[in-house]
Amino acid sequence: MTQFFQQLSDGVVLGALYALIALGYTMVYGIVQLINFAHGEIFMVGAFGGYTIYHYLLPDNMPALVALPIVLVASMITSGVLAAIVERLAYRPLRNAPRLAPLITAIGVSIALQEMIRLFYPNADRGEPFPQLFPNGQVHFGGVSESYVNCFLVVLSVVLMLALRTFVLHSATGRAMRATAQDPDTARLMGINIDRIIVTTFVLGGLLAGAAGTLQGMVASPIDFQIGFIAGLKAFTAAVLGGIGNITGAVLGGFVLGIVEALATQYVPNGSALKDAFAFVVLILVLVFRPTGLLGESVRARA
Amino acid sequence: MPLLQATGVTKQFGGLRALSNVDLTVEEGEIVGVIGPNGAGKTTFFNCLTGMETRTSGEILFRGAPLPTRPDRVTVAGVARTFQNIRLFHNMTVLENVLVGTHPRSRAGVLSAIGRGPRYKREERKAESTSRELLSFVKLDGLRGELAKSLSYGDQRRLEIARALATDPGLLLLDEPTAGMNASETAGAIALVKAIRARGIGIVLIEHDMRFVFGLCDRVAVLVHGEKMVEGSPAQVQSDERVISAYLGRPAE
Amino acid sequence: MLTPRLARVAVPIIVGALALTACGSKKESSSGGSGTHIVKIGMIAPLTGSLSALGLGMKNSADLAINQANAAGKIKGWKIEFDPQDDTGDANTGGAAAAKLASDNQVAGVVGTLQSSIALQAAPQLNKQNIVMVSPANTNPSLTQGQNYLKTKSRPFASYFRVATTDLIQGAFAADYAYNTLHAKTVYLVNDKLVYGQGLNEAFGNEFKKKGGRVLATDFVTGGQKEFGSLVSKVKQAKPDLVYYGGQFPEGAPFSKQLTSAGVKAAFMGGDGLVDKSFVTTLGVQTANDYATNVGAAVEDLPAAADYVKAYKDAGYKDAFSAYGPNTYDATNTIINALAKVLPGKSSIDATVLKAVESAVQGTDFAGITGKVAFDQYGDTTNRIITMYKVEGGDFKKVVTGTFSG
Ligand SMILES: Nc1ncnc2c1ncn2[C@@H]1O[C@H](COP(=O)(O)OP(=O)(O)OP(=O)(O)O)[C@@H](O)[C@H]1O
Ligand SMILES: [Mg+2]
Repeated sequence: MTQFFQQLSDGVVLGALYALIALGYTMVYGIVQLINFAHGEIFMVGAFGGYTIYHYLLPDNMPALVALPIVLVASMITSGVLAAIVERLAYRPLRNAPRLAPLITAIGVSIALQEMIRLFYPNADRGEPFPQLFPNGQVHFGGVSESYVNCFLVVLSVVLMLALRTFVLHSATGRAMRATAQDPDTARLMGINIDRIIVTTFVLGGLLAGAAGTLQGMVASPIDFQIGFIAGLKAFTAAVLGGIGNITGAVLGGFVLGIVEALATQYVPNGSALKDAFAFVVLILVLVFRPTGLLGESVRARA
Repeated sequence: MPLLQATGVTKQFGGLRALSNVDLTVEEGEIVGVIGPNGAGKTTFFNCLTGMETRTSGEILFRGAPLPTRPDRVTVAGVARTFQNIRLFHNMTVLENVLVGTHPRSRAGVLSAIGRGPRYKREERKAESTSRELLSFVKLDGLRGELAKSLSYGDQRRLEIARALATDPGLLLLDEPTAGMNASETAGAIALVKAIRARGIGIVLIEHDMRFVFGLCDRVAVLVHGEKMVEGSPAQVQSDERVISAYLGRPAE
Repeated sequence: MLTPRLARVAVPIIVGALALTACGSKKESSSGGSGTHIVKIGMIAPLTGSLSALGLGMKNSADLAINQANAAGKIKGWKIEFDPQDDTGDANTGGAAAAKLASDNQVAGVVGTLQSSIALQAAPQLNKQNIVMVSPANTNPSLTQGQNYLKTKSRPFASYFRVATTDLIQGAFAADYAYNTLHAKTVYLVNDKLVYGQGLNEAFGNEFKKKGGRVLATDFVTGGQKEFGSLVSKVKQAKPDLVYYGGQFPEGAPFSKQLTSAGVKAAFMGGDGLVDKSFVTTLGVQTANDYATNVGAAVEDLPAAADYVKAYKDAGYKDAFSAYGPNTYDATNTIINALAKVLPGKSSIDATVLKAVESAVQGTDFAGITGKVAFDQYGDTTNRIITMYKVEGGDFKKVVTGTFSG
């Protein structure tokens, strides 16, 4: 039984990471009905942004807990700015193009970003060890234990998710985002500059992905130029699972996915080999029986 | 200087000329009616004014300056509208819908929202009190917390008006404000339009309800097949032979 | 015409494409002077991707051997060209590379692959054309001894050879060390589901059980996986003395690190797939208990390798020769020596010539930099030396060198 809770807790750690990245997919989809397949790479570049600041700008003897917030913010800004650039250069010109065009562009952007990282970081192929900014050690709750850094990951993720929730529900810009998601034409007639709202949405998704980049680096060093692919795929699955376009859904989907993977690893025969398969089986089941995802709305009402 | 001065507005949809050379002038505080058979181009005219459609040609001056062509800038300039088929933000509350309308008049940017500084709080408080005032103005104060989609048809129309007023317009365009309303709701709408005018806002309204139009408007324009056939006082229009044969004379649909 | 709108879309794509080609393989321009014929030696290795550090060391080492042979005029009347192909660490890409080399009638031998799983795709295609393939790194037994190697050995590919010994030896050597020296009585096996990792796990497990040890469980990781939280918890609960990992360092390194930071005290051990500098750098300072075997003796123990190490340095290659550089150098020379026997006097490369090259390779017997190079009836090297390393002071430190003899 203890082991069950241990796995549940490991699933929450993994799920928090998935959820942070999934939010970027789902918010962008909610606003522009675009699946930003380059989002995984935005996460990856964010991790490298934090890494770069740590290695090239911060003094060697800086205490880890002072460096941590700087690295974290550097990752977030890197991803946020990058997301804005990608939106501006790659997606905005295609706003009214057929759906396939931005999708293919997203793949092009992914490749470009991966190759950019490989050009700048010769070791990005085999992995750059990410700075360890958190003391070693475990927290014990009953028989369950998690490392400090895992606990930090979960706490920071939850804080960021709550901050996002407050922003979206209770700020003027958040209201404008929701209005734009529901009906962009009418939103414009409320004086909302939807181009600005769309960029803001990309930036918000980028900020969260950047934070996830630092977190992933801390719990799963090294970082390489391909980490965005798997993380992006899992987060995208989480977003679809929760109902793409739905913010609460992305968080729920992330945690469900993480927990399913953890429990499958422990309890299904050959589970560690099949855990990804399980994640996708859950996705398929949800899509068959609830095509809009766990929390998605039935059909978007759009005039 | 007229509030709105549209000259030669023309809209071509492929082979269909939905509007041809329409002129319309609205003075400060005036209520102007636009009537015409289905498909005459009335809604298209509103769409061209608000930038939702790009007009093929024509000039539109608002308070003497060219009206922008981007919808959000049109609103910022001071022209607001409602829709023939209601377009509320259905999954937001009544209050939130109106708050969205205050967007162009709020100066709190994204950064101050994240920082939640004093200016942001002040702007939010101001937006909220404006919205509450407007909701009581359209008599929806009891329903602030409801989702827009749960409102009755008549309430939804009033909410749309409150949301449009929240943008602080000088000119309000109402597209069939009484469609789907019963007699008592229509009476309420007449009072509401008058009250809006009393706030110094010019109004252009599209209507099929002739009693409503002729009882309320200072001036009426008749659109038929995209052309302005007649314009004048309600009495002039009602007695115009061409209007009677082309439009009024036909049995109501 | 490129409109500004189109340009905005095109630029990232073009940048990406340029970057891709920039990293791709450069072809040496062929300069077949009159009178000299051209023969090509191909290579299939990961030149990009997470294993590229190993692959580039292989590419440079083969390049070095070929340049030296050309400079010495080792094959009379012939000049060797090098044709390296990138398998990116992916079996299908490697299969396509093999098909490409197999259809080139100037190719008389191929060095590679790094991974056994890719060799399984490449060897059949090259074997069909009678092109010899000499791997410096494949260790899975089935490549030389057939799928049923534990019961009945039968050689599947007459043209396939390797200078690395098999995982039967490597895994058994590791099991012997774990049981007798580390006194591990229980082991938790983990592999990456690929041919190499699974084979190594099996070889280790079989020998470990024979000695009296207990295999608690076998679990799996996925290529590209970096987060192992729930697997770590599962291992932790089982309380093994040792975690034996069959796979490569990109997954092995973070896995070992996460075991340590979750407080798992068991030693961590794996095969030659872990032997890369980045395994050590990933572990950082906190590590204490990580072991890896590699095929062959340590370079510092090979007097003959000193010249190679110097020549490699003098040639100014950008990348380190890595774990398989010396083996690759010997593998390439194996092919060059065979060509030197067969090609002089010939004017083209046909099936008869290729068959002759194959039997020349089978008859190989020379002193390579890693020891004597010769093959048994299955195409396996007769050099069965394995070295055990321990991670210490930021590097792999040799613990013991030897072989396993049952
Ligand atoms: N986006 C469009 N594309 C093509 N044709 C259009 C478009 N919008 C309107 N039309 C056509 O333009 C003409 C005028 O339409 P409009 O909606 O302006 O009429 P209306 O006067 O508002 O009618 P109603 O009283 O039924 O609302 C119609 O024939 C309509 O089919
Ligand atoms: Mg209409």
